[in-house]
Amino acid sequence: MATSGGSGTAGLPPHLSAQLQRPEVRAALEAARAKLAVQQAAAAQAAAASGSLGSTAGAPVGSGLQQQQQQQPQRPSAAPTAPAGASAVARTNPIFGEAAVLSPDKKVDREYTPVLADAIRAPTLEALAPDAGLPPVGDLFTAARPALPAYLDNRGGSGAGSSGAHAAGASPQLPDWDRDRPFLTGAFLLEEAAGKGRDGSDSSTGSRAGSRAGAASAVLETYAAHVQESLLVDDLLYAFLGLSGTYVRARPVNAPGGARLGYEVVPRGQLEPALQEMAGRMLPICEYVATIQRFVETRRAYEWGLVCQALAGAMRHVLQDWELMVAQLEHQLRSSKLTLQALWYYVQPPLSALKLVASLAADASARRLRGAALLDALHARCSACMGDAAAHRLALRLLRAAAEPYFAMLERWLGEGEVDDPYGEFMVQEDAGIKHDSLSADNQSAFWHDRYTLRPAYDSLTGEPLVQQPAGAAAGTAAVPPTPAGAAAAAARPPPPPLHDVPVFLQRQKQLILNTGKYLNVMRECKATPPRTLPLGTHLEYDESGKYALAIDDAHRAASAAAMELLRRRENLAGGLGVLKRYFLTAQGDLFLHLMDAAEPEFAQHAGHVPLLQLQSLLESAVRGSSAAADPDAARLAAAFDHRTIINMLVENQRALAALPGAEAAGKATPFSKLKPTTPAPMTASERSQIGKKRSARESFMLSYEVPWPLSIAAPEAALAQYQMVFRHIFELKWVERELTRVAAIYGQTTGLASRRARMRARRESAGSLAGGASGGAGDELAESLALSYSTCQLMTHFFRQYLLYVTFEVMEPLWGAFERQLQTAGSLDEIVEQHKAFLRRLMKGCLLSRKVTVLRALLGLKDLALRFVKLSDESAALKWDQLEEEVEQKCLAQGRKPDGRREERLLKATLARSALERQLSQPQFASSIKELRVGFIRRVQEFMGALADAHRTAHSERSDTREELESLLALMSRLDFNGYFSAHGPSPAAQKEGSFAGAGGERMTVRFG
Amino acid sequence: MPREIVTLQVGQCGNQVGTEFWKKLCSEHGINNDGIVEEYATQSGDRKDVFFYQADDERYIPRACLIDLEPRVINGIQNSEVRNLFNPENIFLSDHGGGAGNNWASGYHQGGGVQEDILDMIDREVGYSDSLEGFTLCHSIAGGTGSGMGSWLLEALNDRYPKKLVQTYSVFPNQSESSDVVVQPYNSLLTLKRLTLNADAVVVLDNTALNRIATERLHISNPSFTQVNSLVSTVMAASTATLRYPGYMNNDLVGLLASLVPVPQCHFLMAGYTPLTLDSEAPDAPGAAASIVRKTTVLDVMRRLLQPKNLMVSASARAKEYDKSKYISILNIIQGDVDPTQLHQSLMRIRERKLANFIDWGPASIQVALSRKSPFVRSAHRVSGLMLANHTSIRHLFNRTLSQFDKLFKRNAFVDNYKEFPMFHRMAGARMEANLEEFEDAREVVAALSEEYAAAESSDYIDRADGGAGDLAAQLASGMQLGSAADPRAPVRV
Repeated sequence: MATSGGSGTAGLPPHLSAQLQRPEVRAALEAARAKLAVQQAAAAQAAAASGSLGSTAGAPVGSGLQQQQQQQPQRPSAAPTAPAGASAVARTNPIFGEAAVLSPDKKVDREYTPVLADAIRAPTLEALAPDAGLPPVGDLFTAARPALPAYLDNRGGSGAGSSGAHAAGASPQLPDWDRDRPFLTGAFLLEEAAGKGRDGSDSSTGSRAGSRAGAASAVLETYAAHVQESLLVDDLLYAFLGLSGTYVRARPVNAPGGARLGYEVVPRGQLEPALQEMAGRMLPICEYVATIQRFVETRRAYEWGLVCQALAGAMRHVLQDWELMVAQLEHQLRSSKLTLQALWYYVQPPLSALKLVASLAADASARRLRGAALLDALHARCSACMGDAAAHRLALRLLRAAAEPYFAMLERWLGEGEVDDPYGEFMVQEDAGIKHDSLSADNQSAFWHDRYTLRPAYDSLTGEPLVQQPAGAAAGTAAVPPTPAGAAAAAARPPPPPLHDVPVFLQRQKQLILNTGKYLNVMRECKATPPRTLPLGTHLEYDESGKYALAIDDAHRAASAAAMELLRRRENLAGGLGVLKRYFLTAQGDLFLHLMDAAEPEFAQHAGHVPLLQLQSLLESAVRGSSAAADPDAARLAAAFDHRTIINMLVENQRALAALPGAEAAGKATPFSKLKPTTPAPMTASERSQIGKKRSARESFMLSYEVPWPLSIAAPEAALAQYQMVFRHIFELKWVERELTRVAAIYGQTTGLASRRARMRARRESAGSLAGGASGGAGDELAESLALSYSTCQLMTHFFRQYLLYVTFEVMEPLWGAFERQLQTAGSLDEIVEQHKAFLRRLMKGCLLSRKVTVLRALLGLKDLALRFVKLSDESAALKWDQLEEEVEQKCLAQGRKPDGRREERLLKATLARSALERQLSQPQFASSIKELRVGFIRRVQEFMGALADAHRTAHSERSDTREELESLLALMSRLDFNGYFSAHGPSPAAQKEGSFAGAGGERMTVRFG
Repeated sequence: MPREIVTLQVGQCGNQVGTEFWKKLCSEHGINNDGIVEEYATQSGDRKDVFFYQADDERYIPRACLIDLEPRVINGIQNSEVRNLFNPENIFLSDHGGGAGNNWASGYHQGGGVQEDILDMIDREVGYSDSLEGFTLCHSIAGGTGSGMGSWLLEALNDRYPKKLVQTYSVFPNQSESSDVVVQPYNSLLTLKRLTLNADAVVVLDNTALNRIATERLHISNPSFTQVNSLVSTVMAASTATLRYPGYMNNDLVGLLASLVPVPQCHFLMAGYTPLTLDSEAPDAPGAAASIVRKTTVLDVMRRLLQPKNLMVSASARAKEYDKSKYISILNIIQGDVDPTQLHQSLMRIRERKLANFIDWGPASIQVALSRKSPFVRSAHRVSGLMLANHTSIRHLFNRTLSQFDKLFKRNAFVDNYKEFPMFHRMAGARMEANLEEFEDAREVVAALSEEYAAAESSDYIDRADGGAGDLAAQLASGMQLGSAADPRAPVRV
């Protein structure tokens, strides 16, 4: 130590010393110096603090040593460090000499208390077990830098920015010299051992082993047995520090799990067999210490993460305690009190403790554990030695020490919702790129679902993602050659859920933990103050009783309560979703009434001729004119074009919809994968020229709405797409209903034309004319066809009104009511999201949208017929009042009177109107078309009912529907045929034959029908 | 464009009923007697503008015209608590103030005489609205002004606004007791003709039934006008509930009526209401509370509505005939706190028990619309229901009027009163002689109407069952060439 003395740079070449003056170099040197100082001072401290050792350790060596230690505090520490120091000097380490003097580390002054002394000094049961040696250590000793877990390399290589600070490349690096200088890393031991193995001779590495070996090798045999023993003890003590001694030498052992460092007594001559035997028993200690030391040295690197570092730190403590003990033993030796037997007696308890630590280190090293996996290993070890109090205590301490940074992260996450995880160890990973309006792959709210996720677990050796092994999966299936069927089955089977990188003791709470932080983040994103989830001063740490679990539960409760409160009260979740109900489910009926009135001319045109902006302004004016004017959310409604037909819309989502009934079983990955809402976008040129000319603006009209944050969590785009589908459907039917109503009003003007009397007269005449061979008068045909028109109009109005009443009051209202109640009682946001999905699924089913396509087709066919009827009526029955007025005026003028609205004039006008109607309606095509439409409509209704019955039957036999869904189908059928009209006019004979299905279900259907 | 409705109240009865209706609407919308919206009602999400418009000073003015030929009732209104509610320009009183003397012809004739004034008034009122949906007329059909002038108005409206709906709330005279108006059958019949030909829907409010309800159901021995009018206004308010409180459906009058009136001339609707109480009864008065303890499920409400005793039309036909009569359509508007899941069950129960007898010639069903209830009116009832029904038994009411008319007309009694007016006389040279064609014509129309309703009870109303050209079964069986439209597998182009 004194050799390099004086000023640190005195003996250096001038260019080097110049370099040392540069600030960055100096800073690096300072840091390194501090590190060295800590290591060196620790040993010195250990000796100084031996007084306190005695009180803490009820160990065998304790009390006897105390006295002498105080007399000679310096010596023992000097012994082990001197050779290392000497070799460092030989390598011209420029700072070594200064280290002791200039260290800025305050720890030098603090008394060192051996924290783990009691643990390592109590014998563990493991010591009694047959010694199987250490488990494989992996590449701990072979590589200069042990390999990191494979997944880190993968991640770092493929996408550095993909998942935050996960990549190893992002971690800070220790300076090169920290890795390259063998005496700093302990690599010299390996080099030397390997070197000796290679050339078999002592090289002049400058180590004590090298220098001593040559000097003392010949001497050993010449000594007497007790001197031999003393020399051997001395050398053993030296090797106990994980170094290579004169007689006790390290050598590499090639073991299956990776090269290890073995120790052997190399007598270089005749050693007493008894001594050799006794020393041989203690040799594993050297290996343990070397393993621990190597583990500690390598795991200090940043990229191994905080858990590894903390564990390394804790192991370092064990080593320090051990070094302290070695120092005490050396003192005994110096006082000639230590025999080999006594040494064996003293080191037995530490032997087992060190073995435990070393095996942990070997295990962690062989499996390249870090983060949660390392904690898992520690936890497993801790549980495994539950019966061994001392070992358990030691393992527990290591676990607690290693878990401390993890729990600090957990605390941060639970308390503030922050992921404070520079090395990618924490169970929750954050994708900071996802903003609150981002969407996930299946159009759910990405912020809620994807921004914070549980970190998937990877195999650290292969880098493969770990998956949950299905319980029934036999390992043998892999050996069977994959038959096509087997392969198909394997493909059909959903992949097992991935395992998460969560410590085993937090497995049960992982979802709670994830959600707690998610809630906090949602709240922060809503600009609300997150609640205090952890009581002030809470310090989360691992303990076996699981107190942390209680704290997690409490935090989750507090966070979810606060978040739900926020969503319910301030963000008005029910109200916000109510917007969707009001506008997309048309609960605010007057708005659509106004829209249809206002946009009637535009709706009639081809979509290509109507600018979207015009529709938008019409929509806005309709909003203003309706009772929705007071609703600020209504201003966010937008008009859009969707050129798909409703069938196409459904077909495009067919796979998604097919998965809907069993969506619970299939998992939520697939169902909504394709659902994408229509957003307002101007038509492209091709659309304008192709579809724009084919479809009317009404058929393309679609309502669009941007769900505001944070409601978009509960109503993401996938949900909106479904709302839009329902809206499309209902809007069309509402339009039909409105048109029918309008036509009914037109027919209302024909009061009296088709009176019973007129028709009876007509019938009589036609009966007479049948005999006479002449056709009836025009007016009589008019009465007949008008009556038919009334009836047709009533038929259609009835059908569509009843269908709409069913959809609104029997499907939407009850479902919405139930959903609203669930909104109030739901305990978590996830529950709400799920309930909303379920609500939409039932809604789609109730509206027949997710039933078989035949059902919907039949319904759309009915709609077409109704619109044909409307068109026909418009052409034939609508009076042209303007023309009529003119005609009246002319007649009045012809009679030489001014039209002034007098009674006579009114009568004249009424007569004119009547005759005009008669002219228009007595066309024979009108009567026949009406007849055709009417009969066609009745048939179609019957087909529709048949399709419904069919759907009910299949659903009943497949048990794919809930009872409510089955009942609602029956409800629709009975509603449509309340007075038995359709069943009385029964299916035509052909259809009856077709429909005369046997079986109980059919039986019941007919009963229900009749 | 709120689909406005202009209310015209004509005659003594019309004005009394109408004013009660406006009071009711005001209380439901939280509008005070001066037309100012109360503080608590500003954010209620209802549609006030269907029946009101806003004046410059934020007052809500009813879209109403008050028309009478004698000043008594209107003066009474102008001195009452609601004197500031109506637009004074919309009040028409004839100059001489002599009324119509219970003479239809007088009322009708005077209507023609003041048509400029009245039509100007209506035109102005119509001008206040963006998209007028139609008119509502309140009147009685027995008196002079309401019936005569009302008839004139119906014709005038039809002429001037041919595309607008006209719905009337017509109070039919009490036929169970002798009336002080002996020419009541004449007036009724003449008005019925216009109601048949010129109105789109008539809500029949039968004084007989109203009095019966008041005495039997509300236990008032001698019901006053106010009490009866409050019943009427309740019905009127409830029937417009879906227009004022927007919901899924029935948000416009035309939609409401189109489903109720499949055959244009059969547009006489019966109204039923439950629970029947008077507004004057304080909801928390002990006596009232005792009389209204009832269970209110959807089924209960619907069942009570189907009971004849709750109907505001006395279908005092013989039981046998009543059994034959059928519902053409039913619309139930149920207001209040209802569990929609009960709906279907209730419908099924009514079907099973055959509580409602429907026509055979077309599909028919009870339409149930759930509507909101005004949050500002406290009521002891959780649920209230209104039924508007098109029922063929209403023809008995017409038949009774016809028979009463025949009794008088056979003897040419009181015809002289009518002869004075131009419609009922013609000049045969210098001599004025009675021209009673109008009576006969009206009789013809009403008789045809009654027949129409009678015919609607039979199943071959539309389709003849004899296999003739109109026979539906034959058409269905013959498998008319419907083209590809009938093939369910054919892709549907939408």
